[in-house]
Amino acid sequence: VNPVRALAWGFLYASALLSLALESGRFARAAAPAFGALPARAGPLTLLEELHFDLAALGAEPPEAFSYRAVRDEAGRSGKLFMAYYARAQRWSGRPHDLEACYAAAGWSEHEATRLDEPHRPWSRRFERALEGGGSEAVRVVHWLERPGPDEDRLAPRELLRRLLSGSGLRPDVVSAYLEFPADAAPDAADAARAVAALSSALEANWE
Amino acid sequence: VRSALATRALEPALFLGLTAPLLAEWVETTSASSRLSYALLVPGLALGLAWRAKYAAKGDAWVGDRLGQTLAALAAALAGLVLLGGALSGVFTLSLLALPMASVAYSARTFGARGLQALAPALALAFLMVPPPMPLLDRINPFLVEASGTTAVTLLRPFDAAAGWSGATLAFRGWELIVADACSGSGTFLMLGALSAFLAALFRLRPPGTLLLLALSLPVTLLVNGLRIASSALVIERFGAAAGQGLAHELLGQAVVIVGAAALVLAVERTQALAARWRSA
Repeated sequence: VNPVRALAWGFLYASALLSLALESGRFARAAAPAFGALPARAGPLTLLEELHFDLAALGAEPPEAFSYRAVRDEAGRSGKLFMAYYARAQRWSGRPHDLEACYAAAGWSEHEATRLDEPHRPWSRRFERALEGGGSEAVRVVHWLERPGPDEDRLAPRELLRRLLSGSGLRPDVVSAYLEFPADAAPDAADAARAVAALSSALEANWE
Repeated sequence: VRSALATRALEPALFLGLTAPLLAEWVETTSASSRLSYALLVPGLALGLAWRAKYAAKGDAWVGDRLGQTLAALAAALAGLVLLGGALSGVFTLSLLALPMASVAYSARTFGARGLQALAPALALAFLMVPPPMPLLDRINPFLVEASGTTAVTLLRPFDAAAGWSGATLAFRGWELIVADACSGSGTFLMLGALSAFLAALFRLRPPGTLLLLALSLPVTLLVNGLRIASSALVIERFGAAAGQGLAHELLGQAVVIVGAAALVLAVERTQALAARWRSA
């Protein structure tokens, strides 16, 4: 028996065994956060009532759980918070979809995209679309992905090691969250970053 | 010797057992998505090509050899690597790549370098069972939608000079038809792409012919998808909105794939004829 060849085959079966443990849910099992148990205040935001949401808008492969709520910032400006839980993220289904693809499908076009100075590196995008009766509307959307376990700096080696050792780094689930405000009445970048950090902590505290 | 052979026969079964959850999700997802369901056909087509290669080999025995063992170990290591990477990163398409890669490894070990060479087209086709990741398709979709819409408008101009296309909406004779994402043409493109690869292997096209055929699947997709949108508009105009949904719409979609496949078969036949004429000249 050639030891190098045997090693190659052994590596294949060891990888397959790990794949079986993860894919069958025997290890690093996914579980949804309790959206209903989020606190009424998250940083500069007050979380208000659940809003009606057309389930058909979630497409053929909807998230396993979601929450769509009205929010208000400290200046009294009203917005919306959408959180969608996917038990299996980054699968080939592409779930969760890129936010800009969802907005483009609803007729919005992107006019600006920047990243906020927050460990999750959330995107802040400005979308515009024409109104049927003439004129146009614009919104500011702040979007980020929240994963279970410490994920404030996904590329830091120490944090990566912590996630892998705790098993949470191998969990397949994710929450895709975004805040939407009218573009002319949206929190500034610093407040938006504070809101993301607070919501991230609140989600983590309510995640199994 | 018999024990070693039995062990080697059991190994692929063990591997299939270990990757069963991946396979189950692959079947579940591809059968639920109209644009990915083509992938279900790929293993069958690959097996058909493999059977034909074995049949064509006749008395030419394929036996394991030293080079085959080395290639097998290399392919096994690569399969292990993509499986590990896919499992750790949660990227399913990466994990799934391990299946055709492992097929290469088992084939090389069992049939040797000579067998591997003969089975190469079938093994290459097997990789198409892994659909491209959806985020990648989401990038291509807008282009396909725009090009399909432009084609549809061109086809409809003789019926309505003011026909137009904006975003994913067709304006025709004063009303608007919003084209669903599923009708963007990506499913047709993937299906015709896989079919092109199969035809190229079946007709033993040389690499330039294969590349030409694969490249043709894009314009053919745009043409037949434009035809689908334009004919949907004409059907709705004549028979009402209900005719643009449900069974009638699905049948139209299937007809589009058949027309595309027929166009590709014609392209293969023409390519073969031209190549034969060029060789005899």
